[in-house]
Amino acid sequence: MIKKVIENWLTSTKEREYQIPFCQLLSSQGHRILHVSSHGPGEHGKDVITIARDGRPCAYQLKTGDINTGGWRQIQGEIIELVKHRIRHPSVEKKRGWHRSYLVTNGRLTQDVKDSINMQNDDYEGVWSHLDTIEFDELLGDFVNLQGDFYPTELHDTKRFLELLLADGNEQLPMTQFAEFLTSMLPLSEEHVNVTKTACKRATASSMLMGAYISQQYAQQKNHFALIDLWIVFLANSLAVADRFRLEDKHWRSIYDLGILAMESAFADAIRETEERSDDLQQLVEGLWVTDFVSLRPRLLKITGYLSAYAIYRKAAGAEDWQLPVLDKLIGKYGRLFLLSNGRLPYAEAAIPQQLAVAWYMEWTGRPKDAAALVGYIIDIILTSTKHSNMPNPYYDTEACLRHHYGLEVIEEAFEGRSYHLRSLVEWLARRLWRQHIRQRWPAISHMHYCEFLPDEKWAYLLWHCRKGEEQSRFPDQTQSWADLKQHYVVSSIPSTLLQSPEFLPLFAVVYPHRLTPALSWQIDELLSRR
Amino acid sequence: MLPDYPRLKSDVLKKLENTVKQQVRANHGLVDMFRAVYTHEGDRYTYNRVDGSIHDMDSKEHSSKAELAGTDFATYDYNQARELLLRAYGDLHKQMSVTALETIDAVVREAGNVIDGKGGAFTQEIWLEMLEKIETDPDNPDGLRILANPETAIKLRDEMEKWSKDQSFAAKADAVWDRKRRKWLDQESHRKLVD
Repeated sequence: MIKKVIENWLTSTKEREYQIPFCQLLSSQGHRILHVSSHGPGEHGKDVITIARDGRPCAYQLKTGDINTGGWRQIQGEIIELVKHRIRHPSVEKKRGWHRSYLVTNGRLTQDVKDSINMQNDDYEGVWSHLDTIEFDELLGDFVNLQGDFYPTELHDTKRFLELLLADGNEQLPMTQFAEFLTSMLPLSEEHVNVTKTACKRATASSMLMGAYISQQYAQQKNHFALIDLWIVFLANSLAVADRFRLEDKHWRSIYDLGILAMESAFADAIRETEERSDDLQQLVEGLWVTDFVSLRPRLLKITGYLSAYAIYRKAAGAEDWQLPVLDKLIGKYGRLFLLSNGRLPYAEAAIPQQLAVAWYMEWTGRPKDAAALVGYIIDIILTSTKHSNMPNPYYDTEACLRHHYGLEVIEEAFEGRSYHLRSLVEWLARRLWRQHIRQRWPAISHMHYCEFLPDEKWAYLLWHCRKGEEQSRFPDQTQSWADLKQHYVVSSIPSTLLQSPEFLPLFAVVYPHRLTPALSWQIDELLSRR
Repeated sequence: MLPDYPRLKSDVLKKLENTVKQQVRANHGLVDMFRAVYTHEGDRYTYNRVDGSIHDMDSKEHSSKAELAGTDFATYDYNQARELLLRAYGDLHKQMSVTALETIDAVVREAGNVIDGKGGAFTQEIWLEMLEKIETDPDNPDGLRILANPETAIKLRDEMEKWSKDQSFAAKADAVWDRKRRKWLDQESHRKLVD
């Protein structure tokens, strides 16, 4: 069955979609990945640059589908760039001679094209790099070998995998289903005790391929935000494996970095599309317009929340151009519509990390007062909504809350007087010395329970769902010391692999809203203040 | 297996359960008052009290049976299914009510908020003593709620109607309320941010 799944995927995928899994394949064959072009044609016809196991540099040009004579002529320019220009990369020594060049396609080359390639190689032997080809059958065989034994065999897991493969790519990624499926494919359950580092690496690599197969439905619909969710869940799971088994970088970092590339590619596409559609509110309507009143505001919040988290990620990673003009435009033009409730938007705690990401972005783009006002506003919403049990906790995603709001499904749990994010927001303001914002609200805040989940094992913090741990519910002090509110956290609750990749924190927070804890929020502040 | 319609039956069960739960909750006022809080993750739940002490939440399982004899399937229909579920949910809520009352009883005894009526009538003195002991929140729009069995509730209502015409009792009750309100205001004034 897995061979059929891979075959289906390989047949219908495009070069940008199989690019990362292809890099994963090369990595498993001992290649060191030097460069992957993020979008558009690669520089000098080179989409992927590697150093092979024997030390020889290699360059790859990726294409989609069958290539006939007409198609060959169309790509001639890029092919010549691929073979004619030497690789310019700090890790590639000139004395190594010509690199190996490869034309890769998930289709097949006609015999005429193969003859043309042979003639080119003969005519330019020693002058240009020799061009080899990798076609569908070789790719399929390699991917099947790479998948190895790491695919679902139990019926329940197989059913879940197929449901994910065949999911409607227009919908949100089914987070719980996908996250739990991915976790089940990795050595993250209680039974997995003595697992070798090699097995961990193979399982993580295979789970990445699983993610790639599942991503296809969303890629076809250009559902960029679902792809962002997918890759961030993969990254969190791979960090969990690395943390649990205390893996050295060589056993997980290269796979993790490929996941980062996939995520960044999805963000690049999301930003591009948002830029194209941000001039007019009507252009931001999606799908069935008659009932878009349901999703317009949550959509705008998700776009701005995720892009804000991405901007912070880039700032933390040291990028100079981290600020996003399209984000400034959306917040400026439509912020009132989706950041501030007008009574028509049912609020949920699952959306708060997105709003907090926007607040962070506003702060770091020169609007600290607006950011504080926004956080104060969110606190007011929590205090008002929870009084009437109207604010579901972050374990209920936006869709579940909307379904409840419109009477399609019933949420029986009561949320009165409890909040998972209130403490993070209060301490956020305290660290910025916004005492007056807190003082006037403290009597109401002191009536609320601060809720937080603490897993027994630190690495389990990276899982979507954790069976062992303590759910805490605490009243804050009625008389609260201002000094204590500005406390520093000994970040013992956050896994070390997450702390070693701190720029990932804001992205993790928006996709895993139930994991935004006071310690995580403090850590993000620490991260940004250092960059 | 024989031909079946599992999805349809599941949907009908969901509809039945929603109807039945609403009806049962309306008949079991105590359980209806409680808010349901779910534990989404983990295997332990802790909470703190106003005095700062931290406690584990112990969970208790409740279950009830729904039974139907084989021969009854001949006439078994939607209404009978509803009656069956009503009985089962009713039994479940009764068990939960008992657990709730036992828990309240234990907590109240621990806090010392118990008045021993020694089997006698519910007097004005008992009422005033009770008012003194209970925590009140003047902000609460629901006011004071009394939980009693139906017979006692009727007697109490009749007594309280008589007491409302007793000016000396009313003055004493007002004095208690006034003291409690001032105490509450004093407590609330501690909800503040300090250096």
